Amino acid sequence: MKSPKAMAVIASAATLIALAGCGTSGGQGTPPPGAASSSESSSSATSATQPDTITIKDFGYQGPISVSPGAKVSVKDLDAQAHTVTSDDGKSFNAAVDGGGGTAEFTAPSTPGSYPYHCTYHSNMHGTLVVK
Amino acid sequence: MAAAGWRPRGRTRSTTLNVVLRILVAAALAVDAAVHWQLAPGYQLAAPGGIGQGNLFHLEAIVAVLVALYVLVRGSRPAFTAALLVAGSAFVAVVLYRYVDIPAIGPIPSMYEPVWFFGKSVSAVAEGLGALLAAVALVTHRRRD
Repeated sequence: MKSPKAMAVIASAATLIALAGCGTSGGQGTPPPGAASSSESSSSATSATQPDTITIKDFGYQGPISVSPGAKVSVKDLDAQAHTVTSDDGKSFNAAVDGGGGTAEFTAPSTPGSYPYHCTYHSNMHGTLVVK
Repeated sequence: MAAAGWRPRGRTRSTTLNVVLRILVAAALAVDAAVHWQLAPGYQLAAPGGIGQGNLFHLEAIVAVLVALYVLVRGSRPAFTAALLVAGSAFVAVVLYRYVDIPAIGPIPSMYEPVWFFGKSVSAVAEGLGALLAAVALVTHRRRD
């Protein structure tokens, strides 16, 4: 028969092992099987169904961070004022769009890279289009 | 009997204050004018309805420069009153259109712009200070009179 002291040591060791197991599971955050693929499919479904649209609202660009080379990019202006989406290099793309829900479209550059753009009417408005 | 050119100390102090206020108010109006003039072309293209936002900005810049010169040259009560009106109305307008989505009113286009950026902030501060200093000048004028 084991002494109470030995029993306490065994119980403590078991508790530590159990806690370590919980820590491993929660800390590394290994997702359960199927979770990753479900997340990926949701993400790819979103990008497949959502057109490449840059929305302008409250004097700010809200839009795709990245598009495919040569993709058609739509611009929708929800402000009352007109805006533009003009590449900083002045030649890659330019789209002027009327206020009050106006729309426009431009073709993304065919060369992958990062393309900063701005509004020629409002010099404080800036965004970046990533082509990849 | 006072010597020629002698002025009471209080009078000298108020004259110095008047000169300082004239320079500061004129400087504030000049900043307001410069920012509006610089922003006008783009804003005219963005909001050409009615009189056009850019045309309003040009108008504001011209009036601000004229009043700044008036304040510098005369430093009178009417000059500071004009400065208070121009700087004060510009300050109220920029703050109002920053926070309230006011639709077009007659020839005045909708100028709602819910953001602050460097040039706009500098202009707004200059307008506020210009109006405040013009008000101080008017109060000191009244006391002197």
